[in-house]
This record gives sequence, C-alpha cells and structure tokens, in this order.
Amino acid sequence: MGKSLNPPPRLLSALALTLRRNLSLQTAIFACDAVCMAFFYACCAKIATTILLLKTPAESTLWYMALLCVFVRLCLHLYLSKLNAKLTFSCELAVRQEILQAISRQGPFSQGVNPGVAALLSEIATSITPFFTAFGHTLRQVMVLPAILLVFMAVASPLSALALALMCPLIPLFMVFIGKKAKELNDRQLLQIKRLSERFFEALTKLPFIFIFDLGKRELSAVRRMSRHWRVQTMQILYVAFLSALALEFFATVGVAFCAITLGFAVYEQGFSYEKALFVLLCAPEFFLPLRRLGQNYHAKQRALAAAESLNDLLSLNLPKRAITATDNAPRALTQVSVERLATAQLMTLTFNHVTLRYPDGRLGLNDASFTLKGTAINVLSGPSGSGKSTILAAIAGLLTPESGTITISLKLAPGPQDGGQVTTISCDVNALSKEQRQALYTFVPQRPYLFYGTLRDNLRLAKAQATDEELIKALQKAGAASLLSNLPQGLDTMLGDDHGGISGGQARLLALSRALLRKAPLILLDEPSASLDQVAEQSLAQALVQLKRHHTVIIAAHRAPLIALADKEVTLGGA
Amino acid sequence: MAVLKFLGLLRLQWQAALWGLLASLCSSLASIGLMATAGWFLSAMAAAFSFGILLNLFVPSALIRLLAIARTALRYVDRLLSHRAAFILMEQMRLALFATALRLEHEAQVRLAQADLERRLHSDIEKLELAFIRQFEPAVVAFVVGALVSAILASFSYNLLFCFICCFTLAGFFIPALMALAGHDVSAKVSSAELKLHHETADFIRGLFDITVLGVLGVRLTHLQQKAEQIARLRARLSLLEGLTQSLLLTLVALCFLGVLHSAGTLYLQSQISVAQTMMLAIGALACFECLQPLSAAFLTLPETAQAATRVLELINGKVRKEGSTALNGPLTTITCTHLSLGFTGKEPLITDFSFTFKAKCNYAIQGPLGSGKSTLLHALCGLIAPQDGEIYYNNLPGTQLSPHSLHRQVSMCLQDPCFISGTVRQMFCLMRPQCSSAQIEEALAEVELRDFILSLPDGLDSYVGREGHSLSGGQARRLSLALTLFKCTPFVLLDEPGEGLDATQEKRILTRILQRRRGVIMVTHKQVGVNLCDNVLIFERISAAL
Repeated sequence: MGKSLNPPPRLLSALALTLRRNLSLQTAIFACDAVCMAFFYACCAKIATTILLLKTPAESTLWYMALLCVFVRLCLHLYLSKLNAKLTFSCELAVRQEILQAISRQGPFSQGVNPGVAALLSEIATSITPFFTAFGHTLRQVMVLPAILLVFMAVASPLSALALALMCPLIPLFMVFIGKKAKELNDRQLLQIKRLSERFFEALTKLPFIFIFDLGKRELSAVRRMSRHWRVQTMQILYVAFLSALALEFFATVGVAFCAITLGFAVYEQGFSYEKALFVLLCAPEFFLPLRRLGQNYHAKQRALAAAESLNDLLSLNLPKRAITATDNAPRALTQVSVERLATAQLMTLTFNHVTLRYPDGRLGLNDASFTLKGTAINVLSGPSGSGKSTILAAIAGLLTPESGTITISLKLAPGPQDGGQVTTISCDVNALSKEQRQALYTFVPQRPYLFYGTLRDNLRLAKAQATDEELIKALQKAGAASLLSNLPQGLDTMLGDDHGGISGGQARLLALSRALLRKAPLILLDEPSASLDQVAEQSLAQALVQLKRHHTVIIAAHRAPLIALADKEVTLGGA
Repeated sequence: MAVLKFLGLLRLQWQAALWGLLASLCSSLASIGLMATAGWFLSAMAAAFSFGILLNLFVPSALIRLLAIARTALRYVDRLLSHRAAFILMEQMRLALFATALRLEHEAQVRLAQADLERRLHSDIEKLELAFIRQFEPAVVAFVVGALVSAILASFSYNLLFCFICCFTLAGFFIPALMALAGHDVSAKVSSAELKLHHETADFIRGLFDITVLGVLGVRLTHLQQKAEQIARLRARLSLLEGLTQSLLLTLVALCFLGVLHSAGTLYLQSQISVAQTMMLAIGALACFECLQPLSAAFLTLPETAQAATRVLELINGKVRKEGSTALNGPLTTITCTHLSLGFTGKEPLITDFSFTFKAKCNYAIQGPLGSGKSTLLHALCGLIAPQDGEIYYNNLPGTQLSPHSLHRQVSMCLQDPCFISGTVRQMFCLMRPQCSSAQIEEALAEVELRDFILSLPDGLDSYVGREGHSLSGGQARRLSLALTLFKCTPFVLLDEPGEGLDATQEKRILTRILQRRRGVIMVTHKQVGVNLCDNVLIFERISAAL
C-alpha cells in the first residue's frame, strides 16, 4: 500500500486517456467536497459555541446552512458514484476484451493460452477494477482532501495544522517501507503458499484416485496439515503487512489526540477561541480518513498486481513475426485472386524446401525437411511420433511460420471472368498469401478436435453458419459418419461438449471431418484421423477419403498401416 | 440459509472467532471513546475558561492518551485476530468439505473433477471463506456498538436516542438492505452471465485451434466481447448502488450529528447536562458511524455469498457411498461376478447378467465397442460403483460387505485419464508403498520408460511434478500413472486403456513387459497390442444401439 500507482503492466493501455479524464474529474469533485465539509464543520462549531458558551439557541440560518452543506455533499457524492460506475464499466470491459484479444492474437500454440485463462478472465476483471475504482478513487481523495482541509485548519489554528502537516508525509513513508518488507516476504513464500492452497482443490478433483488407492485418511490429514501450514505462513506475512496499518493508525490517532490536548490547554490557559478549536478537532479525523481508506484498499492493489502478473504469460509473449508479409513479394496476380476463387481452385503441388519449423515455446518441430506433395491425391506423412507430422500440417495451415526455408504452393484456378475463361496456374510462397486467402485454401481436422458445448447441429454449423440440415447430413455422409448419426437418438439435436456427450475421440474426429467438409477448400488436412477408431469405422473412413481425393488434395498425418496403404504419395519423416 | 450453515462451522472454533470479534469491538469502542473524550475535554476546558471553574486536567488528558494508544494497538490486534479467525474458519470448512466429498458416490465425485466446475468451486469457496471478515464480523460489531451507544444516549434523553437510532439503523441496516434487494437481481444476473462467459471462453480456448482453422475466429471473438460488455454494464450498476449507499451513509452521519447536537443543546439550555457532556454525546455519536462503513459492501455481496454457499452445498450433498466393514483374510485369489448388471444411475444398464470368475494367476483382456461397459466393469470391480443387480464376490465374500480399505490392498486400478496427486516423484511413489528405496522407484520408472526422463530433471526423483511444478506431456503422465498403479503390488491390477496416447512401438514394449512380469492384470483395450499375451480375452457387445 502507498506505493505509487503503477497500473498493471500492459493492461488497459488503450483505456489510459478515459481513465485519466475520469479520475481528474473525480479529483475536482473531491476538492469541492472538501470545501463543503469544511463549511459544514465550521457551521457546526459556530452552532455549538453559540449554544454552549453564550447559552442561547443558535440562529436558524446557521442550521440551514449546515443542512445545505450536507445536501451539496450528497449531490457531489452521488455524482462521484456515477463517475465511478462509469469507470467500472470501462475497466471491466477493457480488461475482458484485452484478454480475449490477446488469446486470439497468441493463437493455439502459445503456452499462455490454456483453459485456466478462462477462469482468470472474470477473476482478473473483478480484481483489477477495484484497483481503479476503489484504490484509484481513494488515492484522488488522499491527494486533495487533506490539503484543502489543512488550509482551513491553518486559518483556525496554525500550530495544529503544522503538526498535522508534519505528520502526514510520514505515513506514506512508513507504509512504503513496511509494504516493501511485506512484499519481500510474500514473494519469498509465494510458490509454497500457492501450492498449499492449490493442493486442497486438487485433492477435491482426484477423489476416485484417492478412493482406489485408499488414501482418504492420508489426504484428509494432508489437507488439515496444509491448511494449517498455509495459515501460519500467511499470518507471518500479515504480521508485517499489518504493521503498515499500525503506523497509519498510530499517526492518525496521535494526530487527533495531539490536537485535542494542545487545543484544550490553549483554550483553558490562553483563552484560545473554542469555536476554532472545535472546528480543528472535528476536521482532524476527516483529515486522516482518506489515508485510512487507502490502507483498507491495500488488498485491491495487491490483488490487482497479482492478477496482472498471472496474465504476464499471456500478454508479454512476443508475437510470432511473419517472415514475409503479404504485400512483400506476392505476385500481383495472386493478391488479386478472390477468396471464393481460391476455395474452388485445385492444388497442383505443395513443396517444402529445406523448411525448419519452431514452436513459439522454442521447441523444434521440423528440421530442414524437403519434399513435394501431389495435388488431388492422398498424401500421407508417416514417421514416429515427434517426427514433425502435425507440425507440417500446422505450417501448411499457416499456424506456424518457417524459421528458414520456403513452402511453395502451385494452384490451378478455375476459369474466371477476368482471364476470359482460361484456366490459370499460379505458384507462390504460401506465406505471401493473406490470412483470408490462406484460410480459404484448406480445412483441417485436428488430432483432438474440440466439440463445443451445444448441439451437433451447432457444432457443424460453426463451419458454415447458414447450412441446412440436408447439407449437414450430406457432409456427415461424405465423412463416413452417417452410421454414427443414426446411432444418436436425438440426431442433430444431440448435445455435445464437456465430456463429448458420450462421443469417443475417434467419433469426434469423424464429426470434425464432416464439419471441415462443410467448407469448400482444395486442401484437406487430417491429423491422425483413425486413431482410436475400431476397424469397421476405420474402413468407412478410408472409403470416404478415397472419395474425397477426386476433387481435393488430402494430406494425412498417420502412423497406422491401413491409412498409409491409401497413400498416393508417402513422405516418411525421420526420428526427432 | 446456506451461508449460516457455513458460519455454523465457527462454533467448532468459537474461541478464535470470539477473540476476533472482541478485538474488533474493542478497537471500535476505543475509537469512539477517544473522540468522545476529546470532545468532552475540549468543551470542559472551554467552559472552565469561560465560566471560571477549576478543573482536574490530568485525568482526562491521560485518558485521551491512553485511548489513543489502545486504539492504535487494538486496530492491529483486531486485524490479526480477525484474519486468524477467518483462516481457522477456512481450515474447518476445507476439512468439512473434503471429509464429505470423500464419502460421496463415484458419480458425484467425478462431477467435482470437471474442469469448469473446479474453477467455479475455487471462487465459491474463497467467497465463503471471506464471509467472516467481510460480512459476519462487521455486522456483529455494528450491532453491539449501536446497542451500547443507544443505551448511553437513552440514559440522557429519549429524544437523543430516537435521533441516533433513526440515523444509525437507516444507515447501517435499512438503506444497505434496500440496496442489496435492489441489487439482488443484478447480482444474480452478473453471476450467471459470468458463468456463461466463463464456459464459453473455456470452450473458445480449448477449441481455439479448431476455430482458427475453421476461419471463424473473428465471429466468435465478437460474440464473446458482447457478452463481456453485458457483464461490464451489470457490474457498473452494482458499483452505482454501492456508491449510492455510501453517499447516503455520509449524509446520515452529518444529519445524526446535527440532530444530536440539537437535542443535546436543548437539554443543555434546560440545564439538564453540562457543556462537556453535550459535546461528548454529539462527537461520540458521530464517531459511531465509522463502524457502519464496511456494511454496505457486506450487504451488497450477500446474495453472491449465498449463491456460492448454495452451489457448494448442492455439490457435496450428493448420495453417500455405502461401505462394508468386513476385511478379507488372506490374499485375494478370485473375483467372481454373478449375474451382474452395471450402469449409470437412472440409465439403462450397460452390462446385464454378466457372470465370470477372474483369477489372480491369470491375465485378462477385455475388448468391445464403445459403450459396451468395459470401463464400467473395471469401476465396479474396484468398488468405485455399486452393481445395479447381481453381486461381486471377492474370495467368496460379497462386495457389499467388504471394506474398501481391505479391497484396495488387493486391487489397484489405473484410470483412463492419467491421475496422480502433485508432489515430488518420490512422494508419489511413497504414497503407494510407504518405505520404498530410490532403486525400487527407478526400477518402476524404467518399466514404463520414464526413468531417463525423470532422472534428467534437475531434481531427479525429488522433482515437483503436477499443477505447480514441472508439467508432463500426456503420454508421460499416463506412463507415470501406470507405474504408480503397478508399484502398489496388489494381486489384481485393473488397467483402463493403458496404451492410449503412447506410440505404437512404445506401447507394445511396455505392455509386453507388464503382461510378462505381472499376473492378475485385467486390461481394457480396443487395440490388439498385448492381447495375445493374455490368458483370457473377453469380448463385450453393446446391448442397446443408443449411446
């Protein structure tokens, strides 16, 4: 607490201006609020003096003025709430949107992108927002309110004001010092504390394992031990962390007590004005109040920083650089080819020329490979696991960019109006294609396709939003998944997702193939399509693939004999 | 209410809670006392000067200093004790939750493990854990302080009491409660919208590859962002409500001060109380409102906490597993299934009328299409699920009478999804066989071809593996899981798809090694690898066409 307000790294950069404007407006309102408060207490002090020392009822105008001050303050604070609500809205929105954008920017191969991030999405939004709405808000108050009150108090009693003014800067000083110490402790124990806390949740999800190996009693005592350990360690940090609150309370209390006693003696011995003394006494707690609130919002800041740190993985990863950009050296003819024409084109050849591929985490995916794949045929990539089969598919799909070497594609375009009914062939580096053009070229069935939570129809329609049921069923038949459909009692309305609704991995791949076939594209990429399929299903898949090669180019990563047997062209990759 | 049930856990550790409450209360009272005394002192001095009265200066000024020190110290103690109490409550809660969860039936336990739910559970439990500090303690302190101050004011005049009670209850109870009521809908909406966004984002991330290759990234992203905007709008409304409550609190404090000043002033003018008492009452009443400050947030988050409590209760209030208590005498030699029917609760059985005897001397392979109940049979054999009909006899002892403790000394199982509890590799193996040597562990690792990998890690056998440690690939996790199961050395070992996720040659090497060295293996597989090494092959058919 009390550390400078450095916004969590890299987040909300887009929002900075709005934030600053909102918070400056809040600062201005806090200043007005402080003036109103001073007037209110001045009225109160005058009323009290009239009644107590003059023994006459106070004038009603004084009462009304006090009430007016209260009313104005209410209005100011209502406006502040509105500003704060606006701030909440912008922060919540910006944080979530930035995370979502980061996820899509990073892509599926990034280490930072994992399902855990989904949970972070709400956790982070709810922990970063208070950083601005509670901590930032209070910080503005701290910046203006004590200063203005101090001016008023200095007019009433210069000595008290001086004492408070001297005390004030000591508070942040102590808080920074102690906060640093606490953070050091925290950092040192962070991993262990996290492990201790996570262990409980982990045990809750591993109950069948615990049951099978009869570890119930052991785990129960482990949970007890860990929770206790966690408490002891956390308390050790808190002993120090709360010291900063102690320092704060100490100065706040001493400030008030000092004012009360010195003013009391001044009034008694030197006949100092009671009205002024009372005013200072009433203002003194208010002087410290924002600072104390800031202390209470300490958690808001800590949580926000911790949350932002957990996002570092996601937000700070370097974006994969494209070796060649679309505009660099693409043949003019190609950049003008529309996406629709590409989708109906035919692939002639696809050539890898000394290609080396590397994953974003630095893992080498493919080392200096050269081969050519044939168009309108079944190409099988074979080799042991880890030899780079999936990597090649990802590179063709444009999810990975070669570190060195080139991938050249040669396409035969169906006759279009521009070239007067002539069939044209084009060949170029795949990385010269724009993202959209590239996407039009292929459909992809991953090794572990993901079925989204929703009906089978929703899942298939992901590829083509307006597809009719007939089209869907046709696609299923084309992929050899027709018998699978007839086995589902609710047909296209079967709910999938979570545990795949009873669909096995092999069947999910068939559905994904159907999904992929809904998109028209010259290239069909399949990653281990027959793994965990039984023999009957594998055969029907093989038939489907043979059908497909009449119009499409099929590229399969496979290690099972029946599929390799289908190959018109086999590329065998060496060991890793 | 569900929240109360969780707070009920406090009674087990009432001392910690009481100390926390007491410290919190005392620090509030010291704070009020300080302000009241200061007001009293200043006014008494003024009166003494104006009216020429002699005063004992020492006692009140000493009292102020004392209260100042007490307040400072008590605040610190209060924070520590309150947090300690909250943590102790948390410990109790975790233990109680875990103990309940341990007794649940298999299906309910599996539900807890679903990824989305787990994260939900995480935040729900954390919310409940904070309920003590955020809601319970401030409410109790505010109530006691209010009652005490009311009593003091009542001893002076009912006018004062009326004025104070009106403002105090309005600011401390009625307005926050009203706002919470108004925010209830919003808060519930936020909760469900968050949950939905969370599901959809998890879906989005898991399916990111598919979405990217299908070319629908932009569409999905826009959809999610709209959802996010809706949540942001709702959250802004909640924030507005809280701001409103705080603003009204601020106003009521000022009104109360003016009110008490007016009533006390009238009393003074009627010469019923002294100058010093008048100021003491007014400033004391003003200082009281400080303890109401945390209440508005407490009320507003109450619906969320209640929802969290309900959700957690729902999860752990599932059916409890029935357990026998008889122990086997001697090692298990046969498992006999007689007319067994197996299936999920409320669904058609997957297996009916299955009778077979498994012998510890032989190895078995079970094959069959998906949905034919292969895995379910393994689950039943190791006691995870109870048969719908028929009985499993272990050495002639019916499974319903056998204690799971005794059963699991004889039967171990490797689940289809790799499963172990994070820790160092050594710790994991020690769970299976408490006194084991490094050599034994290395041998077990070598059997599944993991030895070289584990020893290549910087900490070797003491490497921390799992959630927060070194992460294993899918195949490595599966092999580790397999090694752990085999390490237990039970007469029967049940393996559910042991070769899944391994490459063909490695799978063959590992399975051959296991089937040649071990007896009593019952293996579910859909591949041919290793089947020829088994003494018996059982082929299952799917009963119903429906999945």
